[in-house]
Amino acid sequence: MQKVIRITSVLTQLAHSWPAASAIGARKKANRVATGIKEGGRIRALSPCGRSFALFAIPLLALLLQGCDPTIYKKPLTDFRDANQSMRDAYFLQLAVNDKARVENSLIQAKGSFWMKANPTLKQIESYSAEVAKARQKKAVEDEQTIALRHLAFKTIGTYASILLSLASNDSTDAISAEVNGLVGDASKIIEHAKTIQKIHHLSEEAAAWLGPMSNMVTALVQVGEIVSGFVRNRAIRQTIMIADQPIHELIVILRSEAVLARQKAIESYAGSEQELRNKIESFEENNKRKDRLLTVPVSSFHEAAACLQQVDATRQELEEAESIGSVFDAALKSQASLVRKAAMPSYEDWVKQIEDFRDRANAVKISLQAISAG
Amino acid sequence: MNVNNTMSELQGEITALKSEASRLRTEAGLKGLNDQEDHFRDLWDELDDLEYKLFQQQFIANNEKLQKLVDEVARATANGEAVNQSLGKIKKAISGLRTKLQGAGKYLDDAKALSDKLDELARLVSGS
Repeated sequence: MQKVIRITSVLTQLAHSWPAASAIGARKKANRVATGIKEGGRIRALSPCGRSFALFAIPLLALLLQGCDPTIYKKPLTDFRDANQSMRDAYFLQLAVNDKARVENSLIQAKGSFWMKANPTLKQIESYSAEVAKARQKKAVEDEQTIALRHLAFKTIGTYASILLSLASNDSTDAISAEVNGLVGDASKIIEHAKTIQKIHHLSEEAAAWLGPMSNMVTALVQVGEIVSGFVRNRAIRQTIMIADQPIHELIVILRSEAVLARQKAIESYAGSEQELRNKIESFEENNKRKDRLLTVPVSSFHEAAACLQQVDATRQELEEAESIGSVFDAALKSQASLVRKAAMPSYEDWVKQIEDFRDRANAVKISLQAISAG
Repeated sequence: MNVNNTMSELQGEITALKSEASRLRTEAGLKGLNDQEDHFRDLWDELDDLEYKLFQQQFIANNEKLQKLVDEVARATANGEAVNQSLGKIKKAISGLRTKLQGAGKYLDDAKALSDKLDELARLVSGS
């Protein structure tokens, strides 16, 4: 149960540790974009249209990005995913405690009978062994389908967190950027190679002429791609959190109620075992005092029963004193509620509106340009 | 009728019966009544099964609702997963382009070899 206490403590901390400086990543990205534009006279290498695009669109997108950087969710989502893992561990740990409580309770029945027998017969020894073996097979929740569904429920919550975390990470966008840059690099190598072939030398020079500006444009496009990807990912994160909130909340509430029920049952079971042992010891003592007794309970049995009582009592106390398992689930609920608050931030709506305005304007410009080029 | 109260009452009765079965088993054992002892052992075992079936039933009662919620979460995360997959597809498409471009480099090697052969032939023909 120490694990549950530790988990609870960690989860409580996690639930209150929202990243205040999450916009740092966005600012860094915006600076990177701005630096990329100014670096090495790249703007000069662009066409007039590309230059206008780079001068106005990229800084605008960079500004917008500060309001919709998906990486701001990375820390709370990592916390939520870890919280789910702890919650899952605590839940199944609790069920394991319940299994143990049931086995212990049944073993006391078998042992209680065996303690009475000073010289057990072979048949009695066999009967005792069979009873012990049967007791050890017992489980608090035996229905496999029910257990499998709980594993699935925690896995589903975990998948929810993993998908969101994957969206909040820049890994996929960075990989795309790396591939695009690699593509330009590969093209440059091939053109350099082609230059060494006399017969196609003139072609390679022509290719090299457009490769320079193209690579500059690619740099800009990669940055725009990162910004657009950030917006798309951010929107997907927000939508997923908002739509999944209700079922996620209900799942945690149900699993919480089961964990709390199981904890209560385990405490009752150990309390029952304790009472059983006390009753048995009392019966043995009364029996041994009787003059007309048929058998005498051996002294060693009293010692064994006392040791067993001490152990059961210690376990019950430990269970009662341990931090409530419900708090682990409460922390997860708080964590999810914080995610929802973040996803529903009013300022975020402002950014979305600005981005939609930007999209409409960009479309209008594109249509105008298409009309000009066709004319 | 409150289901929780009914469950609690049932649980209370089972616990009391188990305790009584255990007491009777001990009494039979102390009197050397082996058959009676076995009888109360089996009775206690049946009551124990009943107790835990009652406990388990409280979990089974949630199964339908849990399955429904699991399906709802899976549907809610489908869009996010699709975005992740789309980003993966873009990366794959660019990787494919790079592979093709690298393949083109191999043809250039062949072209260079052919070009060198032609130059050599031209030199031989012209006698230089």
